[in-house]
Amino acid sequence: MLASRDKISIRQAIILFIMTVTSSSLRLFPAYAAKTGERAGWLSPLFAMIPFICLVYIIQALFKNNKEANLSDVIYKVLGKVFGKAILILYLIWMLILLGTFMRYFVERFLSSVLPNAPIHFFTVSLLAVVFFAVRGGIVYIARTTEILFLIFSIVFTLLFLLNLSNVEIINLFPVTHYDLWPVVKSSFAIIGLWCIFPFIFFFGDRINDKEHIKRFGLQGTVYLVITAFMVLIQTIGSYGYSVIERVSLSYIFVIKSISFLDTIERIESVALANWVIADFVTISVVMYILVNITKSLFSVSDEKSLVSPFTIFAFILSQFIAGNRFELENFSSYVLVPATIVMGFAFPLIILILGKIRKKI
Amino acid sequence: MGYLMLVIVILSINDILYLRSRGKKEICVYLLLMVLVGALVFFYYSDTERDSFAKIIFSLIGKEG
Repeated sequence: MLASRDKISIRQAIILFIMTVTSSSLRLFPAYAAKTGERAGWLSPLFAMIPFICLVYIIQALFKNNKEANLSDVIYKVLGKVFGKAILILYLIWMLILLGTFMRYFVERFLSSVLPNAPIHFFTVSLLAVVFFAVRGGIVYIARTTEILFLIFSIVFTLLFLLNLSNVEIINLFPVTHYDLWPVVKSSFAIIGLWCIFPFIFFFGDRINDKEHIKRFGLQGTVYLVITAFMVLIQTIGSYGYSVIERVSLSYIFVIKSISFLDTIERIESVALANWVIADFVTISVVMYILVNITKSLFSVSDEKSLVSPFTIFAFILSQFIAGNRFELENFSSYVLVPATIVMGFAFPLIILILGKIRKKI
Repeated sequence: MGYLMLVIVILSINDILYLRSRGKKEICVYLLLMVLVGALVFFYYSDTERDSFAKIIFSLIGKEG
């Protein structure tokens, strides 16, 4: 039962998080797992699960005595106003970079799959217009829409997986020996990097009810995340083998293209792409809402609606400025975004928790 | 760039009219953000062929993009 109509439940927040990372999961996991973990790369979610569970416990501990607070409030409480503001500025810049990167990936996906000659602005403006109105509506509207979209996404995703199972060959996934252990651990790095977005959701923690259940719903979310990551990796690496998948950009779409059901249902990559757009919409909306909330905390302002416009235009420009081409963008993700997100999403909350405990603020 | 500047102006007028009842601080923060946005727009469109953000970061950390 929601305590306020302006707030969302922790279950809705976890769904928002899952949908936020889904788009990047489909893009990042197969290529990274195939490149680093090779044949055993599909096992990497198992190893990524452990730090993620730790992260859920860290966040639960941060909000144990701060049920009405958001992450910014906790940062201020632990680090004080000056250091707190410095950390928040860092998060603000980081989220802006993430916003620009996610926008650009959304555009690049269309350009490299179904509409290669379309102008880049067409996609950016289309998505940003929808996101603009969604975010201005507030988090309750985004969360409720995402609940429905989550259901649609899950059904379509599972159906495509089942249709693709006939293409999966066991020889592409096995044998797995103890020599694969270290490569698999290394390949889980990208997955951890992405899942470390989890704490950022709590920048609008003051709009989330039942924070005492973070652990419970967080662990349920982990099960969903691990299962979907397995599904993505099994159908990609399992269908074409790691040597092909590591070389293909958009391997998920590439694999979906090969689906043929009773020789009648073929070339259904547009369905997968439409499904992917759903995830993109949620990703961009959530990141923008996080930015709005960090700004609110940083400048102690109360209005959300008006802050959406500057960030929409930021997203438009940054999506073009962030990288010159797709290869640059992918390298930027692998070498900069993934490690830095682990620092911002895992190391920082852990440090804040430790400092909070030492200073008896949490 | 012209169209984008037009969009910025229209959005700014609309938002400032909305913010009038909310106090000066809200308007100041909004204007600060919009000025930053305007600066970024001007910076980017003054030379769209300049090095991308990723390339600048790569050169800073000494890595090949």
